[in-house]
Amino acid sequence: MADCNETIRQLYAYLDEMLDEALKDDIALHLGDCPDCQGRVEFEYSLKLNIRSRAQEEPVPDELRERLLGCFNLDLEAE
Amino acid sequence: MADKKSFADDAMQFAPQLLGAATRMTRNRSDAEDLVQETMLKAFKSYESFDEGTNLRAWLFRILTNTFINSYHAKKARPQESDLGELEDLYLYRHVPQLADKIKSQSAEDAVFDLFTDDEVKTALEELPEAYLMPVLLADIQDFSYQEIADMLEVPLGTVMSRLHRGRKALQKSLVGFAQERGLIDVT
Repeated sequence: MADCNETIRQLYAYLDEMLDEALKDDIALHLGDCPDCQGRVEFEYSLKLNIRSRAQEEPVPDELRERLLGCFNLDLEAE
Repeated sequence: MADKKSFADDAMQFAPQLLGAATRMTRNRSDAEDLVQETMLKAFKSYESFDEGTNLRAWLFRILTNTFINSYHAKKARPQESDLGELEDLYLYRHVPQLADKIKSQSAEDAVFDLFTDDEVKTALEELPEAYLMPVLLADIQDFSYQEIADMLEVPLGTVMSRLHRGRKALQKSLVGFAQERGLIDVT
């Protein structure tokens, strides 16, 4: 079974579901037994979602919205 | 082939996300707006070749990413990969006890994230070296798969993965740096 060091090394690949089945199962088995590693995985996952919620979008001001719609309208008129 | 009106409506839905990514990439509001506009123009020009079966969002981000890489440079320089020094695993997590102690919180996690302002989170992202910024932005912030990112950046999957992992560590180091500047963590 994977130990803490191995789990930490594979943590991102595990979170991103990039491990092959055998290694993934091995890590999952360790997580079931190790609250510390379970906490690490949850922390990294929550951090990702937290950062995403703050940095994914920027509000589009009306002036820019008009410009962007113009990208489509110009070509429509040229048709 | 998609109908022009519905194509425009569909594409416009993603404008706030495209602008978010463009702002992190260019580090400059007016460049970001121009970049999104150029993306929409290119998308519309080639929309006849857009296959309705494909993911419109991924297609738009691919245009955005390529346009940025080929024709924009961030006005404010970014650190180089070699400037980052050693990048440890779980850097932020290791500092949680100290941070939680400062804010006297039992449920450390959410409270720790709340310590950082939106501006600090955005700055930490924007200061990543470009090689790390792109995978972090596309994977963690915009939720694309490794394969989609490998296609957008035209690099192998393994390269996406290793840059993403290093980028996450660098981002955490930068957040810890902000906490140190504010006296929340002792500088070691």
